[in-house]
Amino acid sequence: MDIKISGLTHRYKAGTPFERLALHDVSLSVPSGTFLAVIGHTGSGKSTLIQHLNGLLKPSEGTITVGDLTIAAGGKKKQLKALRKRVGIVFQYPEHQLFDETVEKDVMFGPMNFGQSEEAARRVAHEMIKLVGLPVEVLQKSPFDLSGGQMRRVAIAGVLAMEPDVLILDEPTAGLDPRGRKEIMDLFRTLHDQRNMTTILVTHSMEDAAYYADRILVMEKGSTYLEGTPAEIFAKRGELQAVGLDVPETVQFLLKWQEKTGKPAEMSSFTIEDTARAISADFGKGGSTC
Amino acid sequence: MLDNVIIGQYIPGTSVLHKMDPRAKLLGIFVFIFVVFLANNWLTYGILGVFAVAAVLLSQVSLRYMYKGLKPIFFIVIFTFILHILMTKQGEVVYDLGWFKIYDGGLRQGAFISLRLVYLVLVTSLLTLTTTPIDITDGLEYLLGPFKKVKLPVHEFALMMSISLRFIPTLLQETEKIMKAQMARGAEFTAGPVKERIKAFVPLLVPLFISSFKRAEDLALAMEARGYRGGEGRTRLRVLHWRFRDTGALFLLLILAAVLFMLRTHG
Repeated sequence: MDIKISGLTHRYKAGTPFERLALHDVSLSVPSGTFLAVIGHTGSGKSTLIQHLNGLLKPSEGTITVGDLTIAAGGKKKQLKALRKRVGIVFQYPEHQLFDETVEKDVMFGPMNFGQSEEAARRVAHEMIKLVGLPVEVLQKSPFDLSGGQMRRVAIAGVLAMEPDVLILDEPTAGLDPRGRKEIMDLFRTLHDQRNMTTILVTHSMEDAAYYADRILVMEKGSTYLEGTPAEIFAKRGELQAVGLDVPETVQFLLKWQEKTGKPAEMSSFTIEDTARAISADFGKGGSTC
Repeated sequence: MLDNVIIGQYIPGTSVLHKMDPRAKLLGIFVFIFVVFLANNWLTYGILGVFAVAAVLLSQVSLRYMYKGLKPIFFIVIFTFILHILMTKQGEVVYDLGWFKIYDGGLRQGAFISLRLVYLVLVTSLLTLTTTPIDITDGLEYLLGPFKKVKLPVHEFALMMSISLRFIPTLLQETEKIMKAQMARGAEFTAGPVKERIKAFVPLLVPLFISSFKRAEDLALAMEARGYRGGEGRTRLRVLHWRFRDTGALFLLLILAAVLFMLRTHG
């Protein structure tokens, strides 16, 4: 589902001593099927931006179009619900939103709110629990008896159960162990590819952004700072460092390598395998001996 | 959606009210609550009004912000006003609908009680708006000091208060966060019949309770880890200073009380 944002401005707490301009004239176009990563340091407006896509915040100025739905400043409430059905959002620490007696009921909460029958909601709950890699037995357990990692997966299943066309992820792996991180991120990438979704990932990890995303948006002080493919973005190390970001570790390594050996290396290697290949290519050419 | 709550909110500033000793402010508000009840005619309510507005102006808190913060209590004010019009049957009939009459006594009484409410909320919210929670607690602990003699756990009480004040904004933030998460899953908090709406709060309250208990446990642990052991023999980092202006402010309040006492309708 195509997403188009134009001239989006948002002011928090307008008319109080705490008024703050969180977004300033943001324009952005995300074609259907894109996996977009949004990076930027804390307070750059990433979270504010994605909450607009779900109708949780209304624009102070500007418009947001998702598919054929357009949200403008002062829009109708009914539209917001229609928008929420299309756009699923996994918040930071989503396990905080669990509340029901059993995992099954909690996962069914979303679909039933959007008018699914109990039968259909239960079916989708079973499907999603398996999809996030949990055994079907947990469905009858209380979500509060599960481990932190399992709770996270249940919460994610609860969002996926609404079967959204657009999936927004706000640091979905914060606080997970390395293995959990990789499993969850791989899950999102697989889902993205299989279900033809549009995915927007907010992250602090340059590595995740480089590895999983097709395009990257860099936010700074409430405006868009850079936008492009991972290779384009991470070729601009100076500009990234100016706003408190950096290139992924693989690129850092290759830059050091280049510095030591004096050979230009392929800078868009974002996996360990690709990086190793880039270096061994150097060796293959009878390269340096450092 | 919870942007307009001003209860427990502190706005940093350098006004006279900000600089006053918290003990003076606490005592002042305590006295003011009684003084408000002295007024019983238009003149005395007018004087109180001037006083309350002057206090707000002195605090340098923006009037627009105050107004926004008062909005939630307007409902109670209007409700009180209407209740008094309906219930009071004194004085002359101003308006006659046949089945029901409005008396000028009712109008007066309604206006007075509503004003009283507004004054009280206005002045008491100034306390938290111009005083940091830690100052309020220190002041309170000092003022309640004498009760230690009768074995009242004053320090613990003050600590409890400061913790609750400290966590009001946190709790509001948390509420907003969970509300958003559930709304993203299609929950509605502001539409539908009352029964549905009450049910809609379960997905909000359960996570809130759980995170509050968890936070309480974490806080207790963090306090113990830093060797907290209650008020016995505890010294202070910041010492409160009672200045001339604090005595002056209280003196002014007493004058106000005396004036109101003289001008109020007796008998």
